[in-house]
Amino acid sequence: MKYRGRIIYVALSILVFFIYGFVIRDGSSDKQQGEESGQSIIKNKGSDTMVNLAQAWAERYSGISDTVSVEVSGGGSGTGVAALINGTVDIANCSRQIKPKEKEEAQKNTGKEPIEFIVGYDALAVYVHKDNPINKITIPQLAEIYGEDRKFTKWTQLGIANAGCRSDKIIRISRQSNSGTYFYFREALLGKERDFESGSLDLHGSKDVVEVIGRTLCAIGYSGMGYATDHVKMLDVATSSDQPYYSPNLYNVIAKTYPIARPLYMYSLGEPTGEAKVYLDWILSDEGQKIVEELGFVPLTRN
Amino acid sequence: MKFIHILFSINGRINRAGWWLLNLPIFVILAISITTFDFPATLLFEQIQLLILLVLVCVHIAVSAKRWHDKDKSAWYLLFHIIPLICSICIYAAKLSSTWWELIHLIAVINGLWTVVELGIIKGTAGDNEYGPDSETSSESIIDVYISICGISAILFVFGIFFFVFKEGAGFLFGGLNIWEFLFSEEWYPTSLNNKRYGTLALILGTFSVTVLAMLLAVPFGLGAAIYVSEFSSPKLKETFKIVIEFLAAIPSVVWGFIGLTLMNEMIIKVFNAPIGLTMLNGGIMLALMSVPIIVSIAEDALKAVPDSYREAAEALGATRWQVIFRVLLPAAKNGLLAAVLLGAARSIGETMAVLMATGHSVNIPTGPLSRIRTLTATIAAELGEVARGGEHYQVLFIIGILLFSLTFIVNLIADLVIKGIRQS
Repeated sequence: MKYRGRIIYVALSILVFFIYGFVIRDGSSDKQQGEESGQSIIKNKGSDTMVNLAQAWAERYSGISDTVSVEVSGGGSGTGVAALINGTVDIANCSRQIKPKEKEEAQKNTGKEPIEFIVGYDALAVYVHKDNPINKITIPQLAEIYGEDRKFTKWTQLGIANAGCRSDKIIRISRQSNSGTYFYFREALLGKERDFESGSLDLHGSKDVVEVIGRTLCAIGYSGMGYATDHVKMLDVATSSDQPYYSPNLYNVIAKTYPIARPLYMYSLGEPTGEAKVYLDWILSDEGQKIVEELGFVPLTRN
Repeated sequence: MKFIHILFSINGRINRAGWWLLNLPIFVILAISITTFDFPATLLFEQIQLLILLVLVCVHIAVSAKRWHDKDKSAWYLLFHIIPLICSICIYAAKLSSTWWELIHLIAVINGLWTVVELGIIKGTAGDNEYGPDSETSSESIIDVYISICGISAILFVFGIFFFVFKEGAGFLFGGLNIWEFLFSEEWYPTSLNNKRYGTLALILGTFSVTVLAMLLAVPFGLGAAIYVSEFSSPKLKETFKIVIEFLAAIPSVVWGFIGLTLMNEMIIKVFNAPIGLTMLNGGIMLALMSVPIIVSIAEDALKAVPDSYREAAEALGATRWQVIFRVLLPAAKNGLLAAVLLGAARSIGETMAVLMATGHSVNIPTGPLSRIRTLTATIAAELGEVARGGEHYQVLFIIGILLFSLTFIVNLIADLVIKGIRQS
């Protein structure tokens, strides 16, 4: 008798558990549908380089459309792509191109292929302190400053008398080793074969790089063109010493003469439909591209 | 036996307080996990979760049954709880429209409110009834059980966290990672395209050096401040001091990091004529400022715990104030003082954001207070965000987590042994 009572009791618990599960889950999914019918939300996540830009787009767009709101969050290109693979965002921002492996995974996980949109360009400027006399630099020189077994460790080796920097040592400012900016800069300088020498200051954000260089006379570093302040100076860059030097500006980037500029991407899962398509079209329109320029990035075309 | 009886048996009685005590945490956990649960539980993690939830439901039912007994009703009254559930099965089976679901939700809400009133608010029958003795006078054992559950769950959480960290890193730890290189190489190239190297020597030394430096700065200041607050200041000043020190502890670490990045950076450049101020010294000062409040408040408690009779006896023997403190108070309070220092050190080892911003975050073997370093915690924080989930680099970051875990475990173990040794001698 006692035994039977126990079985009933256990069976009852399992039943309660599963059914409560159904009720609450169904209830919550009903609620979500209700929300969606009123106002639709485009979820947008990814690159820290692009987060200010994405935010500006979202804000401007909310003034244009009352029914759509865009939720923007950062976290890095990798985070954005991971969210795209899990199907939790509509649009992922990416300051590097999606890897074939990630594409495959997205296909496997969601059944849809990520579709790529180039939404603007980001020129990586080489920054130094404003009192540093250097004005121009070549890619091979940069490679020997940053690369493993580097040749240049002092400013005098570059032929620069950097009076403000007493130790004469070049302090290399870099980014954390898995940011999209780091990957792009390393490939632009060293190709795929060589690594950066360790011991650089691996800062955690485009803004911090410029901030630290503005206080450090010995420093050299790289960051987005839009982050320039009064305390730093951007160098002209040439692909080699017998080539002309180009300064990082809109004109040179659009003409593709400035050597370290990269495209900024947005990815959607499958061909975008509905509100996401309207939003992406708007970003690529003149109005959306004007915001790209306002934030210090480079638009697709110059009007 | 008592334990199992209270949690899993439907016999006996329980009072209202006991019902709330055991049920409230269960309600919260169930509400959170059921809404986020994916039902075909495939992963091991999900199956464990399912098992825990089932156990919790069992406890819920057992405790509720006891509550019905307390009101001199049969446990079959529990069936009232599942009226909305039976309705929803019917509707689910008959595939009825969503207005019916609204009705079910309404019934569920009314039913739930009624249950809470009936079981949680209305008193049971006074005196003994056929299910057991009066519940209001025999609630001692329920509190007992509740407190032991709290204790056990703390241990379970620690093991759960360790299990999770270990599981994420285990694949690479036992398959491919060169442990020797991991511990004794200074080459940290996790994202190299053709020659990945995972050496953490520089990071381990970075963590150690900045913690030691922080303690060198914080311990004299912290203990000195504690002695001042506890022995020298007037009662009014003492209260003000404590409030200010607690306020110091409330400053978030990212703010300290920002101060390090801007203000302290500039100061170190000026004072030491250094090329850059983002150094071990900078990080050490920030960590010292963060751990001083902890050291002060715990050390002050330890000094306060020394009985006044010690002070009076020493003064009666003609000891000076300095002798009272140095010869009597500090030895008497040394366990507490050691605990204060170790907790301060633990705060420094575990700190992430401030050291990430203030130390320069640069893979170097530290050579002096002005060298730029990088710590284990800052490496995890900076790199975990963008790493591909499940890849080698991801797993190595978790192995660093295991390493940190082991290091703090060893530090705590040594501390325990030292305190035990002091106690015995």
